[in-house]
Amino acid sequence: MLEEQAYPFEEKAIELHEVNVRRIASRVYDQWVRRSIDALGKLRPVRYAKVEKSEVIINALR
Amino acid sequence: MRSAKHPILVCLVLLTAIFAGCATSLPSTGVRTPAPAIAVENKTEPAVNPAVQRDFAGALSAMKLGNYKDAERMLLALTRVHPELSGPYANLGIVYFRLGKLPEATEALEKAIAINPDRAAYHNQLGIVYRQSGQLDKAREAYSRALQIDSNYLNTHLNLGILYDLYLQDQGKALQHYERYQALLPSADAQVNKWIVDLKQRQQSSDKTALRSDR
Repeated sequence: MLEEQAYPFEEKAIELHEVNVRRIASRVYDQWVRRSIDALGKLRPVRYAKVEKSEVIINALR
Repeated sequence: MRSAKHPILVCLVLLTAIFAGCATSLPSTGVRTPAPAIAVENKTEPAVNPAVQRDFAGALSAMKLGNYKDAERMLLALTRVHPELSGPYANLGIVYFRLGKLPEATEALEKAIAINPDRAAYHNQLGIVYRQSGQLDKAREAYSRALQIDSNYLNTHLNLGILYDLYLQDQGKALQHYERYQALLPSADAQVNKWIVDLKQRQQSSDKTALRSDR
């Protein structure tokens, strides 16, 4: 019941964050855009919770 | 007359002896080649001191255990004594990245690349640091350089896919790199499969929107 009531607000939040994230196309990448990506990572993990793969170590000395 | 012929004979015998001596001093091939030790020394890099290798291995072990402060100390010591080695700088870049020190990570990785620009792993790591610093075009360039060095560098295909997908908003290129990543894996990554499905759905819906606006 509560979930049903919260649903439209969640959808609205996603919409607003997505509008903010689209500003990256104009090379805007400030703390608000970053926070929107983090928020979207929780609201829509399949689409936004994507983390790069880094090496643990690099064995080569030279 | 007899005494006059003797000096010529002696000279002939001496000359034969000299030539024979020269022949035996030449290598069996008959070709004089430069000493191999010098040639090898000119072409290969000098061997690394075993103590340096041991210290480097110690720093890598600390990194694997997540002891980044210890690793930082060991790697900094190595960079001071051996600034000509790229490995300590590259790993220092990873350590700073893990500690959230992005400017220091950038500096260390750029130094590693200045010393040895031919390692895909260095460019891939620098691409991640640039992306997290918000330098998206530089991130794309670093990843592209990694793939120029090694077109099958697994992590870079995933990372470049994420960069195009979330940050540069080029769905076509994102899909291309995600699919390449999956193709290079022995068995496909289930999570990346979900990303691909979602991306294809988004492409289809944006195609439909474009069609509607054309009508």
